[in-house]
Amino acid sequence: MDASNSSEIYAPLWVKSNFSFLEGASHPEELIERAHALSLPAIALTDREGLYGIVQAHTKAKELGIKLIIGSQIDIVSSPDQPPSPLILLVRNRAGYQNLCRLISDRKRHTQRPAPHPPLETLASYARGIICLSPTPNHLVQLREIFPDTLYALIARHRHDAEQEPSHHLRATADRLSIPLIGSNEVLYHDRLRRPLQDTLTCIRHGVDILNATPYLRPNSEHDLRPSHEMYRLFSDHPEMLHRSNEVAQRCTFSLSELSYRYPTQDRPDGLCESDWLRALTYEGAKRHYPDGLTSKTRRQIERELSLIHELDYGGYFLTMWEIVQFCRRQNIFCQGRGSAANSIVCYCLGITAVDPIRLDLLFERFISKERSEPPDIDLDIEHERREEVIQWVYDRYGRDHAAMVANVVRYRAKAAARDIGKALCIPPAALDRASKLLGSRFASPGRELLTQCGLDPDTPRHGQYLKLVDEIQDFPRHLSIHPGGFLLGHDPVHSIVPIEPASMPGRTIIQWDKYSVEAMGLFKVDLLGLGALTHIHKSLDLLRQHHGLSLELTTVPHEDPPTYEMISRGDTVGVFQIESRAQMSMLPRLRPRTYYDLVVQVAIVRPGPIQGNMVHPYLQRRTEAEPPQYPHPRLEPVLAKTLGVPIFQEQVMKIAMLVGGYSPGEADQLRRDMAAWKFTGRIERHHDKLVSRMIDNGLAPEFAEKVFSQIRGFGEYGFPESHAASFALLAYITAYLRCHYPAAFACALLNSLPMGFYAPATIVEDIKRRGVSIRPIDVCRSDWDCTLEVDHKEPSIRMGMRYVSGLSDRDRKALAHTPKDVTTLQQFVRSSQLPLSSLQRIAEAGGFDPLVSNRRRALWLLNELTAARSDPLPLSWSPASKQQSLFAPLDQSEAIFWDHQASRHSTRGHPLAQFRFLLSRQSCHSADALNRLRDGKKAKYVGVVICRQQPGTATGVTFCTLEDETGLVNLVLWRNVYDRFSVIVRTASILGVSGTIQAEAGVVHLIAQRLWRPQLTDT
Amino acid sequence: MTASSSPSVACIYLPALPLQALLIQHPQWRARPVVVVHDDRPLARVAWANPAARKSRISEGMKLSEAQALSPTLYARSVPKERVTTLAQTISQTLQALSPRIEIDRQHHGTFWASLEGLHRLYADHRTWAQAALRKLRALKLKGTIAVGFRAHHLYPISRVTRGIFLSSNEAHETQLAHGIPLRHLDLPDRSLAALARLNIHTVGRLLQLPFSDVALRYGDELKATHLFLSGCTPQTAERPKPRTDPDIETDIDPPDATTSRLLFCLRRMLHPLQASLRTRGLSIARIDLCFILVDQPPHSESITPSAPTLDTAQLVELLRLRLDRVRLSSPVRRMILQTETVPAHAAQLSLIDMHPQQSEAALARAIARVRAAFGETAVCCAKLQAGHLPEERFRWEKEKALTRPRPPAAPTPLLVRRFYSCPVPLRSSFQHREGHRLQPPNPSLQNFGPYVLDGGWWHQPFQRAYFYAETHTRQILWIYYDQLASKWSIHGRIE
Repeated sequence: MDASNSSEIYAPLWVKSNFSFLEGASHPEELIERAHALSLPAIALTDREGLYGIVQAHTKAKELGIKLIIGSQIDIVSSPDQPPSPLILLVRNRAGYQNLCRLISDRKRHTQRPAPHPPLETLASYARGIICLSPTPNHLVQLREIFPDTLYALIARHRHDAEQEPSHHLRATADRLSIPLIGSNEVLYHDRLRRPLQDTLTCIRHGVDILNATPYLRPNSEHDLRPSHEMYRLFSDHPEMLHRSNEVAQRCTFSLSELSYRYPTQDRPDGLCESDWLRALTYEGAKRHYPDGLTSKTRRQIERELSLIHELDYGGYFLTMWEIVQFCRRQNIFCQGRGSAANSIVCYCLGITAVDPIRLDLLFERFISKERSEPPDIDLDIEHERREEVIQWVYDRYGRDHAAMVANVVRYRAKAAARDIGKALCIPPAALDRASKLLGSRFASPGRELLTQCGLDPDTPRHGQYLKLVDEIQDFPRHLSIHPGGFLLGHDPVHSIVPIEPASMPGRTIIQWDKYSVEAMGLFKVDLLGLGALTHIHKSLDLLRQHHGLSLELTTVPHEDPPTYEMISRGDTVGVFQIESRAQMSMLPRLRPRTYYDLVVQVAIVRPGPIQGNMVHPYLQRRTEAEPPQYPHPRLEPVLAKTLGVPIFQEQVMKIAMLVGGYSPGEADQLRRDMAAWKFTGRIERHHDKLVSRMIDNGLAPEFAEKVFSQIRGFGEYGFPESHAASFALLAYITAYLRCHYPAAFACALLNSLPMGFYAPATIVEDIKRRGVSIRPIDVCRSDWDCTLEVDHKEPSIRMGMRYVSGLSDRDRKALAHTPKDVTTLQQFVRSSQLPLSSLQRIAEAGGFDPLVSNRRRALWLLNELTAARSDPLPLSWSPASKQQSLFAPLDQSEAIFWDHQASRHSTRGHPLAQFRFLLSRQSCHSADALNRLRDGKKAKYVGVVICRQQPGTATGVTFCTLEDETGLVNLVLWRNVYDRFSVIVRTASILGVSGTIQAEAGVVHLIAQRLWRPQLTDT
Repeated sequence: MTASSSPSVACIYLPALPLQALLIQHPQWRARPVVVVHDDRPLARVAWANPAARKSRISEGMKLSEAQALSPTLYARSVPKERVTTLAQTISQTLQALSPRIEIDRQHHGTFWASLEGLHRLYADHRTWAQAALRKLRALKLKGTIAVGFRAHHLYPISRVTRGIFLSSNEAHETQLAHGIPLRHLDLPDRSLAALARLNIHTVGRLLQLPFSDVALRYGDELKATHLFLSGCTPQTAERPKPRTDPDIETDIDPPDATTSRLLFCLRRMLHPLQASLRTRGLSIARIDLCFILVDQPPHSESITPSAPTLDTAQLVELLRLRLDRVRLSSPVRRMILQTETVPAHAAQLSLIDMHPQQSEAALARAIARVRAAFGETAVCCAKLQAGHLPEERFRWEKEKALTRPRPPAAPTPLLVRRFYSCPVPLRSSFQHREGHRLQPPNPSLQNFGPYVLDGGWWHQPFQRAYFYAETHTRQILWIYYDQLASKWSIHGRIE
């Protein structure tokens, strides 16, 4: 192109990125890069009804030095039977940006689905600071009144004959009304090679396949971002229209950099500024945490933090978090800060976090760094069942205009891409389903082999297109959802910064940006996250108060309790937060935690980061004193001493970079961020030369420098920060303490908090039975909805709750609450409850009517008659025919257990394998208890119920299974060849027979499988 | 085989008939895991699985996606009902060679009933008959079982578990055997089976112990009907294949002749008695299929469709005359076969006096029928608009059975009409496409409009056309395009 000819430049003003969901076929960054490559002076981004992608576009435009015009396409209809007319609204100045955000927010707020678009008149109140381009002749007269000197008629030329007549009409009308004409095409992709993808997105959007999509598809590929000379050739008859696009670009002077953000001001006690109030609250909290007085180190750290917070004007943010925590306390909702906030002593003093950063020597720079001038990020964990109360309080406290949740942009990943593209290309649904499943397990990305596995011919052209499109669509936005807990709060209305729209969940509103955009714009985000463990602990402590008269709080649980650590060291941790998984249980007997800090290490070490970085084995060696701690450099000893010379936490990596790599705290934090993203962008490699050379300069051996860097690389995003591990370890300790000393309350609360954690109810029930707690079955005369503790004698027993009857709904819960329990016959219960027949049948199958009718089959048979007679106001005395009583044999023990599992996912009557123990012993099969006492290398046979199958990505094809019988759990290891040989049995059997060899080391026993079989559980 | 007090009914059961139909169509799949599903969806359930699939632990009722996870090389197809029905009819016709009364059981899939009454003179015993029946099935590449006995409601469950042939020796034993058969072998819905299993009802006998009224109250119509059938209270629901209602009429031409008038004369003679017969049966002719058996040449066929079903012989003969006038037979006709497709007649057609419709629409329809008779069935078609990317794909030609009065849109008549060529005509000029990205219409000296670009079809057959409206020296406006993939110009139509 003739880029040097300044008279032949234009500005594309109608550009839609892939944030016009399922319409645009290019990322905002791609459009900006292309515009820059074409030497265009400016480009607008005008996504449909939103500003979703402008932060990405702004960042890229700033990087490349190209002007970005912010705008949006909105659709106007005059009557419901008319198709909508698009209008392109461009922002001229700050007022215009605010008006556009407000307009979009209001349209979204008042829009129901399917959307009846609001009338044109509503535009008038948002017109200031906005330029309007109309590509259709509709409404031009009214628009001229609304936008008196900022209205243009947009002539688009896509070389399609159907647009000629409307274009002539538009020109004639515009000439008549003296509205200036401007030339610009509707851009949907940066390069016409994306045309197939745009067509496919159109199919997905309209829910049709490509063979039936013609009415929706664009007729040609003329919607790309084109060079100036091509546009001037297209508009050769009226070049002034393109010249005018430059004029409009010059009129739009707003940039996102102009956005100023103020955090909400807090209501303060009279006479106190924000900083003073924060200081007062901090020292008040410090008095509680340090009753013996503050050490100079503690006071220094508090002052340092307060000073930095004041300097960076973050005080309001801390006060907000303090307010939320206060609300939780008032409402008796358990909460605790997690993540890097635990590095701050101010957060600790304000009660936001529960970990003393001074005691653990945590790195404050991981939380706030002056250099990176980014707002701090405080994540607050809240009881998961009560989080909504807190969220609604935040809405009420700040108002819907000043608080909105952050969006989560759901993007295409391989599975969804394979499914949606396949549907559009008419690939058989069964093949697609298989493809999406294989993509999750055996294939990371689609390819020829995947097609073959799905029964598709990879040489068919359409299948080739399929692979290409699946690849192209990856990372494209699909739709918005709600971020797990992020809130954006603002002193000014949030919709003056970013449009707000209602979320699909009732009572929630979200902004149009995700957390990355919020971070990029330097806005403050408050994260309110749900955590099941807090619910579990809360319910446990309530039960202790109720049944043991014991008043414990999170902070008053006795510290460093030896029996608790003894239990943890045995790997006896079913239901204990964070350390209950198979991998954690295997590690516990080797690590043998004895102190709180051991738990912090335990939580952090069984993570993909340390495992892939080969840090686990050296640490265990040093922990068991098989080798002494080694420090590569004397200066690193203080950093690595806590973890015996092995870097386990993110903070240690940062400290190493600072101490021997010469990194500043800000650079070190950037290193951490790049570590988290290296898999996607390779940004970690930028640090290699700098870090390694500086380490060598600082006296480290080159091989150690490389080793440290490879560890950093392996750390990836999977390593925990020490502060985060410390917060979680605290909860892990509390749950372990409760499990050790109050197993009935612990298990009862856990059963009432599910779903959460790692295990199914049946495993929890079996585990707690093995600990000697009595568990009583579901009983309509005694059970509440939740499980309860019944204290008849000395030890409490658990009564299973009606919530465990599968298939009962919330409506059933309410009906049960109003049903009296003092009934003596099934007829009475049926008549007094308003439960439907299906729910009654489920209760009967679960054995809930056993006290009323001992034969469950008979109860089932009778329910039909009883529910049919329920509407009879004067029922006759009911006596079933004697013949029917003999029709149904009562359940035997094994049938009763089977029915329990079918109807309530557990059985209090026994383990399914218990009754076969004698038979299994005759087949030379060990029980779990006996097997876990066998010597290393011993051959063994075992039969157990499969409760877990895992193929961790870090285990290079090894499959781990956990099996269970009435005496305990068995860890099974399947090498790849064994798995491949017996894959059908492994995947389908619920009761598995295994022959193999015992591997016992440091108290950890695994059964290494050699042969798998389906056990014969009949005595033949 | 004795005539009295001996078994008189045979139940022929072909398990997984749709699967067998599929394997007949794809014999190369027999050794591989194959399942039949109700439809091709991931959540569809496996209806039938072959032994190879069962080896991979695939079972009926499993989701297709689960089955595919167990056997990545699984072949899964749905089988249209029509194919199964056709196969059932073939089986019925084949078995009719062995018994005059073969019935297809429409309620229980893969089940056929045979009456063995009166066959004792043809077959030594029932086993011989059953063996002959199995041979017939094997010849059709089908596998089945046969249960011969006294009571159909006993034989139905017995046939489900029999291997090969079952011969009942006495009725009491037959009853005992039937009552011991597990319900899972019968065609009961999974939900009913599960409900019964919960009550420990697993066999036919246990089901029949339940009072009928209680079963009717608790479990829907299907189980109620099964209970009734198994208790012998209803006969098996079966039906005979329908006889053909309009048999062929044949006549010999002796000596063979190809003269139209003589052939027409013969046809008229064939039609008259047919018309009388159809009138008494309340039918009229919707279509005539003619087959001419020629001397030393392959047969020649023609079809005639009147504008409406009719019994008007004159109208039919007129249509036949028009058709025969344009037919050139390669040799003399030695035999004519006339087959008619009939429908219930309108009352007017059955009246003693032929009512000739007087409306012009009916006359138009007759005229079109005459044109079709004279020039072929596709001689008169209507253009139907449809979605299409290319101009020639935006309509299709359809033969309309009934003409409707046109209702043109209220919009003003366009000043210009664009007429399509059915096939674009290559432009034989030497105009060249000079620059890849800069299109020049064929004659730049005259007025041209364009290019209007149409491209797409990447999913099937890519195309890329640049259309122009080009004015010629004779002031004619042509609609032309440049095919950028084939690098050639074509005329696609003209503007009038």
